[in-house]
Amino acid sequence: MIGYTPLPAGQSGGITGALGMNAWSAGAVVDLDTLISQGAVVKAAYSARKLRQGFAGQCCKLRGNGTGTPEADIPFTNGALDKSAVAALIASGGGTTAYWKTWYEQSGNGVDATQNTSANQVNYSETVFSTGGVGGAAQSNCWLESIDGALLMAPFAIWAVCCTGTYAGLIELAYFGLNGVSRNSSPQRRLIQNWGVSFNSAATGLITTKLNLLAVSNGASSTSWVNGVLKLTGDAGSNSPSGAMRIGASSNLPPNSWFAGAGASIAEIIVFGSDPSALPGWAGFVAGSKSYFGTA
Amino acid sequence: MIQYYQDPDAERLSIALWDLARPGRPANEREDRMFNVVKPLTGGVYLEVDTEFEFVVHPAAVLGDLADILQARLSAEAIAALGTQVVNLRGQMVAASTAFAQVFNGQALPQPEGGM
Repeated sequence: MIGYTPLPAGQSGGITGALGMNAWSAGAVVDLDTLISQGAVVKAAYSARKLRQGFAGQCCKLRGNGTGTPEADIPFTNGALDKSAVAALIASGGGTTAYWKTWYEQSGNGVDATQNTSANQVNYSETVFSTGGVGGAAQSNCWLESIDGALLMAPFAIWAVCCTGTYAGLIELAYFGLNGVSRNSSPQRRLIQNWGVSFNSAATGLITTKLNLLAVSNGASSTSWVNGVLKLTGDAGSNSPSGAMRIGASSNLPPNSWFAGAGASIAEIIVFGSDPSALPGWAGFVAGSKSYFGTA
Repeated sequence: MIQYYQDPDAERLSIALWDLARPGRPANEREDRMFNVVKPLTGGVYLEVDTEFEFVVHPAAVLGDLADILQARLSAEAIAALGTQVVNLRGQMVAASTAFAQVFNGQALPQPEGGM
């Protein structure tokens, strides 16, 4: 395992090898705490790994599909999602799979991403990201949602570790800025009809077979960026919720046929309050993340 | 496939349906439900039924709140039969839209009347 290791003040940071473990563990090498110490503002953080040393909570709550419909909080073990706990959950009811009910938020802002409607819960999978992830199987109308008045007030930037279904085998790290979406009079659609920021090939832009990460925010002069490329611009209006994020695939999206293809998965999402890419630790953060998740 | 049923009791119905899978849930899970509920500005309350959604009927499942909700639309005999049906399906994986089709109110719509 290679990862970014924070060094004492006065020393330069860098990438360390398997024997250069940091203070966390061999498995959890992301140094979000260092980014924060350098000025990064984290509004929300969801991951299949433990992102902050001081986070004492669980990774997620999953639902199994076996007899009794068991649910369980899944902890971290050595900084990684405890896959044995997931296996035990599924096996406890003689089930075959698990679904995401809650993705606990690690920044301390308490904006967990949840889905309490069972028919709309997203698959758990280890087939795309061996660390565990959201999605994996072909699904539609399934999502996790977090809402907080201050979460996504523009401007903000989102870091995500994801894989698209359309490009089988392609695993990418997407980093983009986003400011404002949604203009619709229906309360339900306000959350979900938007300028969909979707994880896909930066070369092709928005596509229709994918696992979506959708965000809603107020903003009269709004822009949407994917991998640093401006995709959409205009007036997003001011009648949308003050902040919301939806992770998953919804058939209610325009067009209604949007869905997550098999192989589409998200393993980590961090919402920053500003562009963190100029911070001294950013390069190490990216390198450590790629190493951890096995992305190119 | 997603189907919409206009039903003023959609929220209660959705929660009662999930009781068939997880009866006696702790207080912080009482609002958990099986299907989404949609309230378009054009009016009405709709249950958004995913016809492919399956769950295992809990080994201790009973009709519970479904009986109260369905009193206004089903006969006492039909409700009693539904109760028997729940017991007979304990431990089985079923699709709610077919196993308990009688609980859904009126005609299935491809989307709420007047659109979303």
